[in-house]
Amino acid sequence: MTHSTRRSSQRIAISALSILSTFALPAKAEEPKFGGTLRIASLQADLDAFDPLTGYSTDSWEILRAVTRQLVTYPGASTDIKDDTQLVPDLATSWDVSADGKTYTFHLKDDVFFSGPTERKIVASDFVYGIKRFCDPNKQVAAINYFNLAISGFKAYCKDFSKVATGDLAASKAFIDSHDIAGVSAPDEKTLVIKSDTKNYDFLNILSMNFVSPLPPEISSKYFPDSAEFRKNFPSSGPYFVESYQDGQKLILKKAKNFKAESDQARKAYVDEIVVDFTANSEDSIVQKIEAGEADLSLYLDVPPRSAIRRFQTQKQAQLHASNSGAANFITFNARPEAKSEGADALRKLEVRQALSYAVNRAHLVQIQGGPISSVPLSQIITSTILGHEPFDPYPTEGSKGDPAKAKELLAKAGYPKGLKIDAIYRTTAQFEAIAVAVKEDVAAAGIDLNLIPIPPTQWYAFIQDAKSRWDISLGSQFAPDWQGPSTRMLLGGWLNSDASPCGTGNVSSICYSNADLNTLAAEAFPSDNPGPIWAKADKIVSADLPWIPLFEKRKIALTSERITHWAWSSLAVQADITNIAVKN
Amino acid sequence: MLAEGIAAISGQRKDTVSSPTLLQILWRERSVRIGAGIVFLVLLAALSAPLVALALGHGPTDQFQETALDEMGLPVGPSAAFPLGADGNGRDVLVRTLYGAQVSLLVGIPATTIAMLIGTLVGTVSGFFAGRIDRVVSQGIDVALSFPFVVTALSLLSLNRGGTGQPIIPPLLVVILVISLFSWTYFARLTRGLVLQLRTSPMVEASVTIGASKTRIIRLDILPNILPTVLVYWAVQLPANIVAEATLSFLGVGIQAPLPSWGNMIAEAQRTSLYQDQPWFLAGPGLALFLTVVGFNTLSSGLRTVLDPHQRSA
Repeated sequence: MTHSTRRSSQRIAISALSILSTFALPAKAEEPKFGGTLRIASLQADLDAFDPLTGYSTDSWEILRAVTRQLVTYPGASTDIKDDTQLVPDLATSWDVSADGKTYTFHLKDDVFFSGPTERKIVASDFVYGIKRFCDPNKQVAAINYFNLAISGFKAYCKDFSKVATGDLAASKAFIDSHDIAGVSAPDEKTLVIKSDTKNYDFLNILSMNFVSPLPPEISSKYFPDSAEFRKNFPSSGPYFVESYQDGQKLILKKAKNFKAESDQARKAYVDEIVVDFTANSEDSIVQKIEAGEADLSLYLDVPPRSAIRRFQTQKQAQLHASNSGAANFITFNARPEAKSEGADALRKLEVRQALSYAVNRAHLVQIQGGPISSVPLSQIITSTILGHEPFDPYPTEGSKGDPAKAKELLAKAGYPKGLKIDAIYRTTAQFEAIAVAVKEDVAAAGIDLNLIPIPPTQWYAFIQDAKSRWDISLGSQFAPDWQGPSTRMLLGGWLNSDASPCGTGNVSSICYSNADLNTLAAEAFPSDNPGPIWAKADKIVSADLPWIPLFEKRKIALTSERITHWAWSSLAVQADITNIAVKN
Repeated sequence: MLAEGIAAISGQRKDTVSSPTLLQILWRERSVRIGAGIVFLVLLAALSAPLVALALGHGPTDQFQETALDEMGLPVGPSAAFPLGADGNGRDVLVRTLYGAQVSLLVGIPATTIAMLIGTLVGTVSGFFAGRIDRVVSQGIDVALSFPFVVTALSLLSLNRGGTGQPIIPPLLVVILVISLFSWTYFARLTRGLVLQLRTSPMVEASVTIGASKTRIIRLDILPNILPTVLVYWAVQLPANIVAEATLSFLGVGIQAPLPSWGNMIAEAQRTSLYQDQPWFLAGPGLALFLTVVGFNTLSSGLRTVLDPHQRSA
């Protein structure tokens, strides 16, 4: 390490304070009270993941926020999700950055403890263990592409780890104990050093994701990652610990006794208890529970039913929270080399993708999402809350209603004058079924015949990731930014960048897109001090090339009970920040 | 006993030409008249679906986002253009309900008929040959009866996915087969009981004495005698099978969107909770299902009253 510049944590503390004071304003009349129970009704019968390693859905992150802490994090915002972009120290008090911007040295807090199965102090080596666990062959970290690019020696370490047999806890533990990642080390209990091969403007943002949480090796190594036993014995580093967990029934989180409020400037931890109820199984019953006061918040309810949105908007305005979220829905293509059907082949031609983009009626889709309050038409890859966003529509149509005539023309030009048959998969939820049925009807006018294939939500990713599955397009694709603001890497530097996400098992949505121009621009943007304009340029190139067809950008709508006295949004969860919500008690 | 009664009725009809025909006897029964009336309405609805669609200018899957949905995507209620209002995608609920009747009958009738054919065959063999064959077949029927319908149907339907994820057999056909798989047992038990009684009747014994072959006895003596009861039972089982189709579609494994079926319409109205703003979205298919079941049940109970002397005297 050469010359290092010390970054004052004071400056960050001040900016954090200013944020705290701005969002404290509306609640000035009534200071949020501590205590009480926050009750959450889940649409899914269980958490899709409950381990910092595997949690990658916004809903799992919402819950993980209560039981994990990171090096740096966001304090939550009561105004809008996009306002929650200011990083504050979390388990770290301060950090130094080397002159070349490649090495970060974190200094950890003193009064931070685990809770649940162990109550010992959190030390730097717990972070090292957490990161070493990322490529456990039994279960890999959910977004490995970030760490492949960001941490020195990570790829090589994972390559060795992949040779370890699966299903053998002792073998995994032995490997972790005997191997090191070149870029991650803990010189002493309170110091953590993370090195990168390159300078990355979003390095701290990457570390703010729930993946990078400390775990006590003496507990975690006893269980397979994200197994039922792990979930029940979750070693919490956050303000709450798992008191009981019955999948399909209930998850109870209780405030940890050794959680020190003064050591956490990002989580107020107002409530004493958080209860997640998994027994409601339809959108309708969730809303009923909230309206009846049996639940305060929902989980896994992406878009509330239209009728409920209107009812809350007209009668219970104070219980409806809406925010831009940067999350979007789009149509992706099965671009795996294994996909050789007529439809998949046709979609490899730009004209066919353009035709599909023209055939889709985005205004119609916005309407069935609940109108302008819940979404806006989208025609580009980067969404409105993300760095590099400049409104851009390469294929505009009047009122975003689509242009079937133009679509037909393009299809004919591409060699399909008689139209085209495409196999389209969708998730069998009310929301996605409505989208699927609407798209089918709209593109039929352009001569595109969609054969709808319903896939149950629980089988969705397994189906898409299976190379043998027969499908041409997916009407159920969506994304939410991993964090607000400088998270452009996720799409333009990740999902669509063949350097970071080569076609294969790690390519979650089988997007398999490769564009040399994009890869060049991304490589230019990562170490840049001003990446915004580079990403904007990349967005224009890619949006015109249609690696997927953007449909609409969602606003996040949260319906709550009247018990909630203080509201907060979370950047990472792209919805409620359960550690900063207060309830009547 | 039941079979004897039926035999007595048909015998009576043959002997006395002046007495009223079977149809006339049936028509005297009030529940037959009411039931037949409702069933006729349901058939008419199913047949008139394309005509109504043509008259209104709304196909069963056409979406009218401009006229049938407001800006927030909430469907309009009943009006001249949409007599039962629209659904969440701006489709005509009346037209879809009528097409739903087609689907219900298209699944219900073949499923019940297949079940009747299989059940009658198995029951006849079991009852006629009695002894060891009967014991084995009866055990088999008991085993088949012990499978829970919904759970087994769900697993069978999800098994219907080949290596590529595409259905191996068209889902509509699978639904028909699954439903008949679960209803043949009722026919088999009924037939077995009837045949068991008939095989020891003087009529059959007489045929055996004159040296008639077994197939001839079954064809000429047994089948004509059990047929009326089996046909009545067909009408009893049909509404149950229509409900079974609606159940599977409601659970998302039966008829697939965007094809209308009462089951998936009810599921859609319920899942989106749009029924709170547009009650006819739920009431349309719900009432249609109710009416169909009531119609067939009334008709079959009337038929039973007429054809079963024990019921008639009571």
